[in-house]
Amino acid sequence: MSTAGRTYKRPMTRTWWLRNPRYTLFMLRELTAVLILAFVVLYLVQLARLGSGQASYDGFLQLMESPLWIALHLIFLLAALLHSVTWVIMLVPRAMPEYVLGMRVPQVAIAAGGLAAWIAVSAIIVIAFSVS
Amino acid sequence: MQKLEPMWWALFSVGGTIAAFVLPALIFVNNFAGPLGWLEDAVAYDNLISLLGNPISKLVLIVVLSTTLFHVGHRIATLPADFKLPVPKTLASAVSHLGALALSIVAAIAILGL
Repeated sequence: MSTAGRTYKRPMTRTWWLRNPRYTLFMLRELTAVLILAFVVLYLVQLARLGSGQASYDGFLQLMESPLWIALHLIFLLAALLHSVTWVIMLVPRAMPEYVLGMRVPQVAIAAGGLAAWIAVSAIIVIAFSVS
Repeated sequence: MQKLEPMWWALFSVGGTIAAFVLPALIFVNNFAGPLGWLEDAVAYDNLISLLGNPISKLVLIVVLSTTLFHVGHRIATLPADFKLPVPKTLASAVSHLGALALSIVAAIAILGL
């Protein structure tokens, strides 16, 4: 007996993610990918300019200092922070195994460890750029 | 393309973690502290050339950018379905993941040429 015609398909609208704040956060998090992609592409342009000499690079750097670009960078930074916070605090602790070597590891411990690692890596990056 | 799903997912999770740890600090230094002068010369030509003259930092930057690209590619692959757009899943997956691969190659060429 075929059930194909009798299966109820719940209608889905294109704005389903506005119905519930949790869905909205989910969609915002997914959309951070588009902004992070935009950042990476612009960063690749910056690296390409770096490779084509100081005059070319300095021209690009001047562009990066303009208020409109700084506003764009702020959007990139907020998107990156939303990704980091949701990834380190919400996703990874839930995706990790509950038991490691027979010991129960609470999700809050995994989140705290992730947060500490995030801070350490951030410090290393800031130092790497300042002392070289 | 979708037969490779386990590999895409592995790259997605590795890239998600690397992006989470690296990107806010990288954007802060490269796009704010450097250009606005809070961190003197952080993105100045000479500083970046000497920083990226080191093979280890070249390798680190290539790994960071390519895994980040595969991470965002994997998320972008599902965006048409999230918005109920009539894009075939296989097409969305192919464009996103091959796009990530292509941009990773571009990144590697640009960084190794420095």
